[in-house]
Amino acid sequence: MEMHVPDDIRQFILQFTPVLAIMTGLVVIVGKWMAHLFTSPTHHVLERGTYRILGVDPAENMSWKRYGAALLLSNAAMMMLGYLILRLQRHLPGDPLERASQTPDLAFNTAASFITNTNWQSYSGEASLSNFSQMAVITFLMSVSAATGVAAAGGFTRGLSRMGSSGIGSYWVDFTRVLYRLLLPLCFIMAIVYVWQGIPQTLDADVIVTTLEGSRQRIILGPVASFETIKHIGTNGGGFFGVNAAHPFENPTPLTNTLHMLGMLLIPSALTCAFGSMIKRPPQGWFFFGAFLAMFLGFLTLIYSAERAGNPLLAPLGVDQNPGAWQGGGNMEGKELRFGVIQSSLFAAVTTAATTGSVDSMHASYTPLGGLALLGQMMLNNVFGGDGVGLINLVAYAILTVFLAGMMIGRTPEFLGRKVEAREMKYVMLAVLAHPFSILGFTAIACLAPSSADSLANMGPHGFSEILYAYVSGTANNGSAFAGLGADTPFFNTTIGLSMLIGRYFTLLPMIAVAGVMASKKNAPESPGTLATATPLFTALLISVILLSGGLTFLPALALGPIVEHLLMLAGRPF
Amino acid sequence: MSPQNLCRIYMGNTLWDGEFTGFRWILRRGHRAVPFGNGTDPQTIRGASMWDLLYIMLTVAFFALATGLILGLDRL
Repeated sequence: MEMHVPDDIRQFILQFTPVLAIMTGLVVIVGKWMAHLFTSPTHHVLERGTYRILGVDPAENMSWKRYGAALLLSNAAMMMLGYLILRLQRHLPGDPLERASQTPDLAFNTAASFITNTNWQSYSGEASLSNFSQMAVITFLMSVSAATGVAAAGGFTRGLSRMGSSGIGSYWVDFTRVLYRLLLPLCFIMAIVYVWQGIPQTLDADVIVTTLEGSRQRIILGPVASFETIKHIGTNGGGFFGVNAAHPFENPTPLTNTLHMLGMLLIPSALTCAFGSMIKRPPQGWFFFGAFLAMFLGFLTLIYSAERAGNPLLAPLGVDQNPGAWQGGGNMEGKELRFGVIQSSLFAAVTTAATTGSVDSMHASYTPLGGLALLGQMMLNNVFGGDGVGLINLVAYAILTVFLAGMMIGRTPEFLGRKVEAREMKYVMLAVLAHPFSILGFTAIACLAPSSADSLANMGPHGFSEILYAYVSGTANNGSAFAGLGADTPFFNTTIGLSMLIGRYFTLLPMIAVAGVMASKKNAPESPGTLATATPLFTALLISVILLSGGLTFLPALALGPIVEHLLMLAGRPF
Repeated sequence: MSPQNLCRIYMGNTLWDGEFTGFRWILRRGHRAVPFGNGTDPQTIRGASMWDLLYIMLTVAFFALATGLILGLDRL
């Protein structure tokens, strides 16, 4: 019997399969390059010059404490610089439109957002920022925050690859190499392709045009192409324009939409290959990649099926949501006609998986179950995850999994040839718990704050989801917004800013400590009782632990938001 | 709550009254060199915004806490 696959589902498979196939192909190329970058003993001329100017000894083998402190304090300095420029914008040269400085709370939020690779925006780019601020603050912080994350993953993996070592390498070398050898070349090439596709790249602030109706309209311009490259390759996500990648200047063609998605997935996926290569266990890298991919496909399927089903409340109003010759069908609220349900679902799945935050559709308009899947990926924070931190988060859960498995069979757990003991488990738990602590804590405070209701566009469960999404997005360093929350208030700017900082550093620093402790350990020879971690069984166990711990932690919050909204929608009550 | 009152909670009246020499120097410098506010806005003190000071202190406090985390992890 021949199985009939509806045309729209066939279209969906045809559109997402090439993206994932190309990504998988690039995993090997970029992964090998990153492994070489982190292990090569040779410093290039430009790098040597940089070390000399900065007074850095590239041969220094930093302890994890020194590595973490260098990462943290350099980030603090860059955040302060960003804050000052945003506060002084009005008085800095180069903006003929004379846009005002950001308010102190907004500047704090923006600086925290971009240094933590979150890129949550409580402002609209074209209305709030001069081209100078877009380049000197936004693009600069997007570059260095991505370099920070990838460098941390390099130092972390190097720590896990060593035995009996007092250090995990030099942070300055990792940071500089990631910037010079990976991000800048990739962004340069990608920017040229983007310009070819029609994305503006100019220092002009605007152009005045006469519309078809005869009125005059100001079109904002700027260095958008270069901005878009690091925005996606760096898993940043903040838009040059307020509507982000739904804007035709940010995302003019189907090719740019595809390149945006590939850019977001490129480094998080390739780091699995780099990890396997650096620890000299390539299969381990592939099994981690498999875990990422399996979770991603599950969430993608949930998002697409929820959006494809459409909104049942519209059916009695006579709205045709069926796919046909003239429309793709499904829930089209908040989605662009040129992307439809298929490309919007795929883009939304990618941007919340890779914790980028770039959007080509409005996430608040997704069906409750579609919105739940978007929230779920950020709550887990390791379905590919952001540049560097996604891999680190997955390894945290892998260590947790071997610990739980070890406890079940009464053996001391082992990971990558070393015993996992109480000290590193405490660090892992600190990293794992900081994430829900920030999300649920700030959400609870915001729900109790009397002023929160004034910021909500919707009441009931959808309003709760708007608040929950803001802190999930902030803590997961994603940055996408569940539109509907007016977040530009001192309360939300401050608390979301703090959630971004906690989500970034209170999960990253304990894991760098884990790398340092593991590097100092001696080899524990594998025995027949050792739980092999590069197997399908362990991968399935790892995914189960991630989903179970994520579910147990966040299900009550999800039940108050998207789950009850879904049930009410089925009962005919909109929000 | 006004920014002035919030500052009193965090820093005491001394800052607002300009009794604390270190801050007074910063504020006087801010009035001359830093174009924040205009000195008459209720959210500014002598040219420097109280909110700016608060957010800078909040940032410093956070990174000090994170540095403390690095130093304190060994004790776990």
